[in-house]
Order: sequence, then C-alpha cells, then structure tokens
Amino acid sequence: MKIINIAKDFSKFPIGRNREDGESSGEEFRDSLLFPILLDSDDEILIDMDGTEGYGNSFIEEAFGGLVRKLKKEKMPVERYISRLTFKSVVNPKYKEKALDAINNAKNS
Amino acid sequence: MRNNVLKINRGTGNKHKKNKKQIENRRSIAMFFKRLKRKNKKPATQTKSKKTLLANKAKGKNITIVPPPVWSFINNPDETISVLSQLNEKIRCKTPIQLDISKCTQICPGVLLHIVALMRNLRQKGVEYSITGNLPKAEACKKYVLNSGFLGYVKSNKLSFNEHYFGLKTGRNNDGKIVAELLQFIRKSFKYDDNKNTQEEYDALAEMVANSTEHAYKNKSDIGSEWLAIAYYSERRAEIDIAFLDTGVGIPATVKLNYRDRLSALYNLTLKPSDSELLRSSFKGDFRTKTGEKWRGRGLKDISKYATNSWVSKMFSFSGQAFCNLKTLEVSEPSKKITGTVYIWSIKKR
Repeated sequence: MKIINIAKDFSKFPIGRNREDGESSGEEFRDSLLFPILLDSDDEILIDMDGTEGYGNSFIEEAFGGLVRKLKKEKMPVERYISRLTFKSVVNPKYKEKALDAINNAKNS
Repeated sequence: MRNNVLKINRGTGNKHKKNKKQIENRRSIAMFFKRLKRKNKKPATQTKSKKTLLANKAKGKNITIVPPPVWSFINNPDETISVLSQLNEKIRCKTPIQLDISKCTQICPGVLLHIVALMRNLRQKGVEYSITGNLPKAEACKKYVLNSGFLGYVKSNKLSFNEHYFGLKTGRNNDGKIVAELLQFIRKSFKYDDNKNTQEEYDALAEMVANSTEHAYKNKSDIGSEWLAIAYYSERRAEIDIAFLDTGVGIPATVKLNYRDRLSALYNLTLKPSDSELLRSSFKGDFRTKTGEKWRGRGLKDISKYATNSWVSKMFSFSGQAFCNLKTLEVSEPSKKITGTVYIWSIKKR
C-alpha cells in the first residue's frame, strides 16, 4: 500500500480549486501527485488527510471529484482506479466524508 | 489637536516594478527600453485626474464627511453603508475630502477594510485623490484605529503595533499561508496549545478566499482584484473580531450571472429576486447546480454552517444591497449598495 500524507507530501495549507488561482490547489494536488501515483502501480493508496491546517470545500472537490472527471475524460475505468483509494481523517472525519461525497457526486453527474 | 491630525495620502500613480520574467522575454535591450519608456509614461487620465483634483482644491471645493458615532456594519448598517457610499462617490469625483471621525465611538473592522480597499484600488489605477482625516476622541476607538494596521496604509507617523491586533493583510490569490497566519494569531490570543484544532476557522477562511479569487472578479487580472483581512482580540470581551472583504461584483451579482436557469426555477420569472433573497438562498445552498458544473457552489453553505458553531458569537455577510445574519439566515436590505462582499464575525475561546 502506498500512503499519501497531504500535509507532508503536498502542503499544510491546501486551498482553492485551480492552479491558476494560487499554490497548493486541488488541481495541483490531483495532477502532480495523486494521478501519477495512481497510474504508477496497481497498489492501494491511503490518503492521509490529517495534519493540515484544514481544507476548503473547493480543494477537496477539485482533488477528488476532479479526479473522477479526469478519469472519465481520459476514458479510463473510473471504478477500477477509484476503488484503490482509501481515506484517513481521524482529527476531522468530515474531510473523509467530503472526499467520498465529491467522488460519488462526480460519478453520478 | 494638531497632533491628532493625520494625512491620508494622495494616490501616487502607477509604480512599475521590473518583472524579471518580462525582462527575460524581451527580444532585445533596445526593445526593452522602448517598452519601459512607454510604460513609465503616465496615462493621460492620471494627469487629468490630478489637474481636476488640484483645481477642486484651489476652488475650495473640499467637503467634510462626518460618519455616524457608531460606524459599524453590524450595529448601524444603513448609515455605515451610506457614508461609505458617499465617500466612494466623492473620492471618484476628485473632490478633496476631510474625513472627520473625531466623534466616532465605534468603528468596525469592516469599515477600515473598506476605506483601505478603496484607496488601494484608486492608487493601483493611478487615480489621484485626497483625503485628510483625524482620529476619534474616544480613547478605545482611537486605540483601535491606531493599532489596527490601518495607518500603515495612510501617510501617518502614528503607526503602532499591538499584539492584540492581526494587522491588515491583503492577498490577490488563494494564499493559505496568510490564512494560517491568522490562525496563528487566534491560537496566540486564546493561548491555545499547538495541538488545538482550528481547522473550522481555516475551512471558512479558505472558502472566503477561494470565492473571492475564483468568483468575485469578472477578470482576475483586473487592477484591484484582491481581498483584505483584519482581526482584533478584545481582552474585555475575550473575543476575536475578524473581517474579510473583497471589492468584486458581490454574491447576488455572481448568482445572477451563474445561476440564471436555477433562478427561473426558484423564483417566478416575472418577479426579480431581491439581493437579500439571493444572498439568503446562496448561504442556504440553493444555488448548487450551475449548468454544466454541478459540483460548484457549495462553499457559501459551508460558511453559514460554520457560523452555527457555538464559539462563533456572531457572523454577518454584506454583499450587493443586502446583509445576512449567518447564524440565523435572516436578511435585510440597506438603502445603498455595498461594493463587493464583507464578512464580519466574532469568535470566543473554545
């Protein structure tokens, strides 16, 4: 299993949706870290959301909902990739819920 | 009395900083100097602006604006917005202004942010203006203005800093580090240990910053498209007052632009929804479905959800011609519009 600790591997201050609007955006996390790791092997990936200052809704939605949209756009099997993701958010469980929500909404839209 | 007078500075025009990237991209040194010369040439409007300002000064066309004693968005919204609107209007007419705040007993952080935003906006656009002013006579109010960081944005020798103030900060994009600095101020003021969770504050502020950066301005590269934040710790109340402002199009206008289809479904087409209805609906989360982008528009609902936390003693948003109590989602309409969006709230120690 591979572990992505957002605070250590990406940023303690994740914020915003798009790369053009500033550093540490959901798009940057998705495209520069999550997506390449997802393609790199068939391992399960644990996304550790603890340790950051927090998350805006835009970041979570673009990172995870945006991942589903990206997979769809690339005509890749969404379920096969997404089923390998698990989330850990002990300090604030709502972040895990939001990430799963974003994924489900993007799948259904 | 003389010591009590501070001069709020006049616009200084465009200050051009050499941008390394730009320089690298220039084809030749000659081209570079040619362009630099062209860039440094003051725009015609600036000269005209200065001339008009000087002419108005010479003719003695100064006006004195006297804000109400309680110059506060929360405690006196109608008069507060009305005076800010007058200030905005007169300053743009190149009328030299004397801002007499000597009788003010209360000035809210949102007002200070608004004045600074107005001046920064004009300065960045190279528009000449002149405001002179004084300080409040009421000691607490005077102390508040002196320590808020406001005077750092005007020409004054009275600048002072105090650990109870998170000096006024500005940003142009999604900058989580400034948000984190504000959290650090909250932790320090409330004497929280390092492990204390302030993620709820971060999430709310991150949403405000993201909304400002992504939705408030029609053109993100426009001059003046920035956000401002300020905070103050009141020992007496054991509360921190925070204000956040952008000078964009405002939430009701964004909703009108982005959610036309949804609006038709929510409201009878023959009736034009008021700004207050739009503001309340936005914070309720009614505008989550933007045609083609079903995943957008949840941030405002998250902000109003944050307001319901027990440690948030009050939280308001002012935008367009409306203001909303975010704890109760009650809305009202002042007689004048406000430029952009202001959030003002107070938090207690958890």
